[in-house]
Amino acid sequence: MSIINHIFAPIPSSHPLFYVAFFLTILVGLGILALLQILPNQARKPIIALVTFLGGLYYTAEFFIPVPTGHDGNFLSPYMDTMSNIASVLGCFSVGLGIISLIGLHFKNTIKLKASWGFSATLIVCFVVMTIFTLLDQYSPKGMLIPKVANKSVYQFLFSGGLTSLDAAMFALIGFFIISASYRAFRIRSLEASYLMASAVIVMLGQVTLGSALTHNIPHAYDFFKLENLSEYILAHINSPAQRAVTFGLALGALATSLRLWLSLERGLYFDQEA
Amino acid sequence: MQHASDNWNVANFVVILSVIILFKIVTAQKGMKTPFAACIGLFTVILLAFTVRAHWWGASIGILIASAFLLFKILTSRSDRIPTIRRIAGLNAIDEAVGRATEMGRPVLMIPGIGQLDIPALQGLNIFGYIARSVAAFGNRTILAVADPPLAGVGEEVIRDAYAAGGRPELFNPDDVRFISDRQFAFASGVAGLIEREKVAASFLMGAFFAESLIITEVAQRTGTIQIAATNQFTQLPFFVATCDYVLLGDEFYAASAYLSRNPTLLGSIVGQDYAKLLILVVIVLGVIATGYMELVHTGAIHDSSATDSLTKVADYFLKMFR
Repeated sequence: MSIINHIFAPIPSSHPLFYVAFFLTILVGLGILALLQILPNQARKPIIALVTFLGGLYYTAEFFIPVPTGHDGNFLSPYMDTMSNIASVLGCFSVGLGIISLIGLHFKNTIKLKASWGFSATLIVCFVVMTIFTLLDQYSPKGMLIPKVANKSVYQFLFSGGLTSLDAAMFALIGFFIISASYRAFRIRSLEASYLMASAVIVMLGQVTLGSALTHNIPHAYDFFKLENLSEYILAHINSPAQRAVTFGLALGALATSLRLWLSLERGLYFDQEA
Repeated sequence: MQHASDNWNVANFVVILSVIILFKIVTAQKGMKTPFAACIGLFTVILLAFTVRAHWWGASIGILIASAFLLFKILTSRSDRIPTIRRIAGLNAIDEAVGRATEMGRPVLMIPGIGQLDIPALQGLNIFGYIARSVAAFGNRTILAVADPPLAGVGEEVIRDAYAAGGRPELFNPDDVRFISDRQFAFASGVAGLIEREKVAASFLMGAFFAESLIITEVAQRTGTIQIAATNQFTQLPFFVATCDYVLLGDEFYAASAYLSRNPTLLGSIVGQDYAKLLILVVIVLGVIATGYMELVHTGAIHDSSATDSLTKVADYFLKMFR
């Protein structure tokens, strides 16, 4: 294993070096943050640009450097897992920030009895209850009695019975919202709107058996005019090319934005006014 | 794990598109020519080291010619012409939406999608910085709802700086930058409740959206909110078109920051994208012609002869390049 993979290899919590590595990492991280705070803005920006460039350079180089025959990757590929772990750890820090922000806001609403404080209180209670039962489910020692509801642990009951069901209910609302949005949007006000309405009717009927039944008796020589065939033609030969054209434009826009971010060419909209 | 060696032709094509975009960025902005020319020189040397070592003489000559052409154009181009972008209705409506919200005394809501801290979210935040500056200048309130915790931190900085740039730093409220939830429908219901309770007057949805987009936009429609949307997910575009007042289609989303700021770097990037699109269009047209020609050859409509043999080889090689 290379030196870099050895240094950044995950250490199990039972290993004696775990707490040493943990506190050393925190100290080094705080030291780097303190150093960045002390540096003036003019010195901070080149450092950030350099770190951004090196981070992006790894992935670009790993993609473009040829792979020797018979190998799965080039000499940079073994470090991909290490880079992913670094990104995951950074992400974990930000999850904590998000939770602090969320709980802080709703706690303030509840304490000050602001409008709709009941919803804030409900969120805090649900957050605490879910946290307790999730930790019990994941980390309780073997043999410890875990509370159960309907032969499931409380965590599973709340997650599968509560959260997943609520997710499904919200998803089901989309069906009704599509009806109201379509009723409002599909009005024949212009020629283009007429095309939209006609193609929408053909595609919708072509997806259901009613459409097949309506045009079932069309002679074989005119099969193309059956609703299911017309619907397929519109989706495959008109809709798909338009979607691909939009995708080309989006991909190029994403490529340009990525290049600007990687090379620190991206300027904020008020960059010139920054101190 | 995918690598460029899986399909060198496609990887090289993307490199060519990237160089076109960077070239237009550089030539639109003073002060970048020398470093960029130095980078082109460095990459030429590295690429030549590979190709000469592998005895790919054709590729070596091609790299030398392309580098010489690029370096000549970079060092002799003038950067005093600022390109223009056509009018985009959705972006022209931003000031109208912000003004309407200010007149009604109701806040403005911004949502950078439910994706993570990635390109669409950063582009959305870029646009929101401009909008928040207008909102701040009018003395109104901005609410930013995010579904990814890192976005909350970055978004707070963007909105805070926008309020400072708009001359009203005291109006910025950190509690108005809210992490709702990272679960799709919990986020949708949280935002729906936010729109109903805060009586939002203008809503900007710019980023990666999925099934929750229709829930958010329909609820906003019911409360009379003016909505401007943009997304990189083309599957959600029809829903936005049906429910929002203005929609930025396709790469108008990525052109928005250049359109609003008129920054030379960003405008140069848009011009580079247009040239790249032109190259893709040429490749598509050539591909259609080559495919049609090969069909005619295979069906025997065109007979093999010394004249058509070269054409057949060229068409076949061209089609194999992009498979």
